Amino acid sequence: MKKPIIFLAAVLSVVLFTACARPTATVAPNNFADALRTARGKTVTFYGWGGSTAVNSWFDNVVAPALQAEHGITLRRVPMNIDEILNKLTTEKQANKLRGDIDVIWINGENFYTAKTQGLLYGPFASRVENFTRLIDPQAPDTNFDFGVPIEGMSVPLGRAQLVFVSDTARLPVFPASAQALLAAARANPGQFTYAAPPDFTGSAFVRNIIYEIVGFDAINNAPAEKEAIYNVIRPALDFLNELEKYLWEEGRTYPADTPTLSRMFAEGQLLWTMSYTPLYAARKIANNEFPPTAQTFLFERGNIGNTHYVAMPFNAPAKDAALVLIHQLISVAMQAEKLDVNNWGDLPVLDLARLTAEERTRLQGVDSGRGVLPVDELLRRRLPEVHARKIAIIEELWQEHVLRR
Amino acid sequence: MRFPRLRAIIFYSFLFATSAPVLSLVVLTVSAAWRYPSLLPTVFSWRYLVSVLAQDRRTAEALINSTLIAALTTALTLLLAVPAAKALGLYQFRGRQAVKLLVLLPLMVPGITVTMGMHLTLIHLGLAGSIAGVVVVHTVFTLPYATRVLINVFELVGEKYEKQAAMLGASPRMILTDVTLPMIMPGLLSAAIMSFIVSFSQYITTFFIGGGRILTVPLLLVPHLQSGEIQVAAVYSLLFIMSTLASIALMEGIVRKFYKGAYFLQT
Amino acid sequence: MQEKSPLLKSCGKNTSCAGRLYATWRPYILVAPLVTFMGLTFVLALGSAVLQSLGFVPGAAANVLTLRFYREVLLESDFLTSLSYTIYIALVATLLSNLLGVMVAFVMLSMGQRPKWQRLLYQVPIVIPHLVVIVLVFHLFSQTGVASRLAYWLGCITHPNQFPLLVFDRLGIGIVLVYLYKQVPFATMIVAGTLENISARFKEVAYNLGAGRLQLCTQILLPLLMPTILSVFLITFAFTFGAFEVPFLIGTPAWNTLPVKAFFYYMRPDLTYRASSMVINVLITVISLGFAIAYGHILALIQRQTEGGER
Repeated sequence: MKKPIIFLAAVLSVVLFTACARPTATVAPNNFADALRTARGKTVTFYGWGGSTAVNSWFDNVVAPALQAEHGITLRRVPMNIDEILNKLTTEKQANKLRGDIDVIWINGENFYTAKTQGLLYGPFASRVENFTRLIDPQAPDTNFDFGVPIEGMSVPLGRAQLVFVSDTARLPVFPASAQALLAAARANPGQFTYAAPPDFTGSAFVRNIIYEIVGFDAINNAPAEKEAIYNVIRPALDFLNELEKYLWEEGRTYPADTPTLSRMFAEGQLLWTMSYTPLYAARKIANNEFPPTAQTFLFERGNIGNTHYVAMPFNAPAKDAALVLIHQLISVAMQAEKLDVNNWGDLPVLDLARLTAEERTRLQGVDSGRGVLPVDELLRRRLPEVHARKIAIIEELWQEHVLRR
Repeated sequence: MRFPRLRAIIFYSFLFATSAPVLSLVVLTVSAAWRYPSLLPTVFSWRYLVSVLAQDRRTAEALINSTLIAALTTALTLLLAVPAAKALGLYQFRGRQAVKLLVLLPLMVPGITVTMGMHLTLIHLGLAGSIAGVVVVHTVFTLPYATRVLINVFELVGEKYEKQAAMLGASPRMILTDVTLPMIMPGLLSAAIMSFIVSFSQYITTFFIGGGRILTVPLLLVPHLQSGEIQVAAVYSLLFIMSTLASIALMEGIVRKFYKGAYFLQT
Repeated sequence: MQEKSPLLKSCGKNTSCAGRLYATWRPYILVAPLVTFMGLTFVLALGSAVLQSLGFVPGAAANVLTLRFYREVLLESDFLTSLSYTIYIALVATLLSNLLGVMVAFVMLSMGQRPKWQRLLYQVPIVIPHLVVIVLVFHLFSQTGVASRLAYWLGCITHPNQFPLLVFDRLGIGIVLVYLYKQVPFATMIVAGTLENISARFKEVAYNLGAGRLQLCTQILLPLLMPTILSVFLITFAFTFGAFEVPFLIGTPAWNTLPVKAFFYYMRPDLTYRASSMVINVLITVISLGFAIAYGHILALIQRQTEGGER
């Protein structure tokens, strides 16, 4: 009986661990001028989340034509979730495949931490991207840290997201602009508030924002990334969420599975508010007639969590020169201005206004951000940092144990 | 007959429960706005139908991929299942029960287990993210259905007609095309239809093995379902049902055309 | 048709050696492509799942064969919740759909041959994929769905939030509704088919022997129907137990079925979670197979009994 099992194991390990042919790695250019020269005529492949038509359209209809016209490079975009991308890269690393399929990936937070510590990324390369050295503030916190993880030139910021709340001013005249105000509003309108259950990205950010409100950023930031320690620190916040729960939709017995569901419930009048990680989200929804024209974005008085998303290069990127040019293009003033346009994406720019020429500054500030949203400078002024990537999953687990399944 | 009225009520409400939801789906596809608590859409429009069917290039791509994958899966399934079903239906041989068990096992093992187990291997073979890889995985799930049906057919038909034809001097090829195939055609057709439907409905297998690169109709539908864009999801659902029915009709039509006499086994 | 001759038996006078050899090996040649295919895909996949569940995950930091991940998963606080939730949904959906299916099949039998359009109409759900049924259930039974609107017009509720939560709910009512829509017609179709065959054969005999209607049902039809009902039960149970899409898309976030749990582990960027994911996969498979084996025994038992009864 034992022999077939051993044979099976042997066959399995051969199939699982053998790699196909191994071409050698490509040589990366030493500086940006070299990259521009050798990249012309090449194809650069971008892998990233493809779940938003607005985001896809910015890549396909704005970036791709510009990249072709200005640098003669073809952009190929493959929609894929970041966990699958990292899974693919991990497998290729294991198989020692030095010439992969992906040139540029879209990444941040926990995934960046994983990719960096597991050696899936190429770099440091940021200093070789011309627009990075020219337009981005080297001292800005998000130039140096991504969810508390040191970046060290392994990725370049692409855009800034921020948690925002949206309510209908016709039905809720006063914004609940703090945790306590939210509790009061929920008590006054039972069943008409809720949030998406973490690990939903936005719901998770909301829970962290409540933690900041109740125990403060420093307390959670200084806590070690261990479950026990974090539980002790955030316990008052979890108690608050349990108090709030009594007045939530379905009395908190269950929560919407994701933020799109939350927004649909808001649009259909079931809820008095919704939230989003795209700060200009409300403008697009109002323009589509999905949200009432009286919908308005607001933040907590003490600010909302924001985070930055980045682009990076895999260790086995086949066209590193074209990748450098694409990244350069992505953070150019023109592309960042188009990206801010709510008709394209509505994502906040990463550029340092102080470093732009007067003309460039006008270009960026002249973008119409639509109805029902907050001005960019107010968003940036009331922007709170993220905690370390490793704490996110721990907080989500604690929420599930102590709030959801209590 | 006792309680004839009760029985009629049970039966017709059953018919209503199976068919009325599909009708409501059709209404949903032409509603632009359906504000609560209105019972009928407040605004009718072709907007969603047009934007999904005519304006989104990915719809055509997904439909072509879905059909191609389902057709290839059906072909591969029949190619593997017909000879095996003949052996399993007609001959006694050592290991017969084991083979039968092996082919029916995927009905008992969760799809997600098989898919995740095959994922890594297919990545190494370079088949992940390709149509070929998706077809291979779908075939694992269509084989049990097809083989089961075909075993029954071979048991029913037996070998005697083939033997007679051989005695009368027919070549093996003639036996295949003029005797075996027409006789098993009804079973072949239902096996093909079942394989097609099973492949056409796959979501999580295509999601994993296709790696986001192979777009099929279910892969387009699910994100809209998740984001609550129910009208768009309804349009894809309708497209789904229509193309399944069309494919079934097409397969039946082809069989009818080429094997007019193939139905003598059916009562 | 019994061709069990050993390979090296001396060849007869009339048949050539090659011919006899071919006859012996023919079944194996015919099943070879299928067995090879299943071996390289299905068997390999199961093997890979088992190996990975034992900590043998390519690409992960440590590759030591260990039962650690089984211990971790089984000791997790919500594993039992997930397991019982999965069994609960599969059992409720399967029992209800079989019960309703058998009932409708008997009703159909007693109403005589139905016209073809009616038989086609009730089989429509069988070709409709689960994903589409989810759209239907969502549209009809969500808090702002058709049923809720009807309740509003009938004056039962004044706000959508007052409508009971039937989708994304903790009891999995939405999930069960999806399975019922698919499985009741399936059960009806299969049971009705067998029922027609049986009743054609036994009705006359039974009446001649003076059996009443109730006796016909409980003494003759039901026992003869049992194997069919059991196999429908097994197929639908195994399917709902291992199904991913439906609980993933309209299940409550409060707890997950085992397949959904396995999916979430699998999608974690840290590869060591692959092992935990595969542990769950292996456990689901073992449980499903356990049910299949139990089914085999029950079936044999019933067949022995009915044969005994006929004698």
